[in-house]
Amino acid sequence: MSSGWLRGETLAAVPSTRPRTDRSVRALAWKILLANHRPSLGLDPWDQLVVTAGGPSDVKRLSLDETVPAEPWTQALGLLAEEIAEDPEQGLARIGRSFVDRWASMYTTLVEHLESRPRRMLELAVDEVVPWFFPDTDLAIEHVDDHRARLRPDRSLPVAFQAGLLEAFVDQIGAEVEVTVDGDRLLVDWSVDAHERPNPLAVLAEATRARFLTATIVPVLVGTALAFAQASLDTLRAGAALGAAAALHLSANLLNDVYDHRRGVDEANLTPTPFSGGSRVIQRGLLGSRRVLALAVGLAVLGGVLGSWLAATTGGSVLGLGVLGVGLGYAYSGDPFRLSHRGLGELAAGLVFGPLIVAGAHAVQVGGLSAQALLVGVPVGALMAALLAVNELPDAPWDERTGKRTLVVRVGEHAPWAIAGLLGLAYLAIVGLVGSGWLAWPALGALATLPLAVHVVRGVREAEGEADELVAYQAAALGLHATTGLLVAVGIAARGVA
Amino acid sequence: MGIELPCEREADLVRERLLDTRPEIPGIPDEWLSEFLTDGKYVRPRLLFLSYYAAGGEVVGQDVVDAAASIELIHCASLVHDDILDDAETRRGLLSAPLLIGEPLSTLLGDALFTEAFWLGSNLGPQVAQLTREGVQDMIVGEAREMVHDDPDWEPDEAEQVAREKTASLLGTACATGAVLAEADEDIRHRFRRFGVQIGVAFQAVDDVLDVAGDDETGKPMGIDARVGAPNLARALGGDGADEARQIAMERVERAFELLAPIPETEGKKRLLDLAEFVSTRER
Repeated sequence: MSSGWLRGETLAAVPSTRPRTDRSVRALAWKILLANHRPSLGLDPWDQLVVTAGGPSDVKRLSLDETVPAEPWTQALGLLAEEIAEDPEQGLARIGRSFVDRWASMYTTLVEHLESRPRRMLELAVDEVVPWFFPDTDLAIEHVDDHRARLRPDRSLPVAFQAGLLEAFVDQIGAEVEVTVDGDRLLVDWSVDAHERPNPLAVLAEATRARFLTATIVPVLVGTALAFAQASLDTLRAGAALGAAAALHLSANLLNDVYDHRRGVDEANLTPTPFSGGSRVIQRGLLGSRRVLALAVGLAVLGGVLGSWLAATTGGSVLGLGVLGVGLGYAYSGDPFRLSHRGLGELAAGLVFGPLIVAGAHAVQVGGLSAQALLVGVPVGALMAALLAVNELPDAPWDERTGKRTLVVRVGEHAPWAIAGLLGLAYLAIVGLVGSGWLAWPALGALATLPLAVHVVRGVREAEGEADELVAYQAAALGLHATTGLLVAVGIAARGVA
Repeated sequence: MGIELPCEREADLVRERLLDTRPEIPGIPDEWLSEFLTDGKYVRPRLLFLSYYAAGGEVVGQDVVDAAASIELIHCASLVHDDILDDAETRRGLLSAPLLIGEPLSTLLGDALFTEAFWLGSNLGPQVAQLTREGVQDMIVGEAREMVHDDPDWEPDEAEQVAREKTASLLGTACATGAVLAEADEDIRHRFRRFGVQIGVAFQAVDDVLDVAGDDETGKPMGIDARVGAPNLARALGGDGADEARQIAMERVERAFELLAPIPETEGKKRLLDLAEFVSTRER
């Protein structure tokens, strides 16, 4: 609990409390007051206090959501504040805070859901929780900026009590908070993770989910290695290809966050992991959805410029691949296709991060589309689809609720087998391509990662959808994709060197 | 809680089971009931699981989870009824049932929880049924003994008897049930039952010390026993009662350890003894 609350000397600025007799308060407010303060006060003093205030003789008999006159409750609040603190204003704030703590003990799931989202918590408190307890109140809320809100305290309740309530609501979700008087308003000022606010670069890396860049790097390397083996390597063009693919990939990640945010998918997800549930920079208030969108557009433009240069200097095939890739990237989460919501996202991602990028990286080197490059892209794409499926597992229950029917949602409990199938396809493709002469034999070295693949499949089967336990296997799947793809690239390049 | 309690994964299965079987009763808020059923320390289920492992059980099947859920539900039901008798304000950090929903509805809730508990235990065979019956009977006898005791002061041995009946017996049931489900033979089952009872007395003795000392952080208002006239071993011992009660707790734990001496030294047994030691030396 942070220390800041209403400062005594400024309190006079706020209009004094004038309870009105026709107001009401929910019986649960009495019950919480009793639970929080009767034990320390003692049975008899509590009973006396209720009698003095004119409150209900047996609070326990009241049904929790029935309403009773507000005035005795407010009276009891005042008497109690004098009883528990030398400064009644401080007492009132303390009562307010313990009131919210007790409320929160009943709604732990909701509070966890709002973790690090002070603005949403405050809105919920003002729009729903406080009016439920005190039906006639209206704490008009007005957002000042992204870390402050101004509220008009209700005249029927002591201001210090309301300050305590507001402070505790925001404090509940793990934010630092201070409530001060600002004219006739209460100013709530909060900050999330003030001591460890991430630096902008880290936020950027998080927002773009840069750790998944291996998904782009691997197919670019495979395509480039293939060109190198065929004795042609232009490092500038290889760099441009990597830059274009990476920029478009990161842009698509950001767009996905913006779309999932607008549709409420990431908001509904209560079990995000570092590998799934979106980057959550929007949910945590680190970046606004507009800024994320702007970033996405910027990266798309960068990717477009690099891609256009490559296309202009290579020919129609690269342009075609680029347009197809961007189109699929958009269709992954964009309307009206929403491939990821229909169980086709894995196929789309497999195509883009497999045959398309491999063939593209190859084409910019050799000057044209090649069937071999497309085929070599198949195992890389299958690995990518498997990686995506593993990452979707913890999201599955939440995705399902919001109608995002990913592959793993569609196959339900058979998901580990679908993942095993995709991984099997990758290894079979490698063996088949080597057997038919499309792939150089040293690429068989990629089979060395088979035990890791078995480990991933076994792990996701045993984790049974538990987000906590899946994290380790999500990391393993990411490593599996990178290592296997890299071994394929090295195998191909080795042939070129030999 | 200072240490991480053992069998967290198994405890999660029990939480799920309790949420699945929780009764829907008009007038009882579901959020509150869900929190109430899942917020406990799950000492009884954990003892049951650890006893199961210590007695040679390997894989926790549905029967073991059901047994653990059943015993936790019995405990929850008894807490609800106990809070009516004691006029308690809070329980597990929440408003107590009688304060939140009133005494009549709380009575029904306790009944419903007992029924669910017996239903969960209905497939576990006559031995478990008998153990459950003993545990609940003792609990009721202890509670009644406390009620008819007019004198607010208790003799130490009376206080210990009530502790054995009200709290320890059900812990004995938990341990013995674990052994039964692990298909241990009769001598071993008896040892686990008595082990649980010894641990239970130690547990209650420490609880009494904490009640007298009072500590805001336990979530338990201090000196509540004195308020409701409940026996308190630490208070009954008078003077340096707290130290003496802790001494008694240590002795009971030692006795409990001796009882399990013939059991092979396995990882399961080690974890069981660790929990037993923690329970009887905890500071909050």
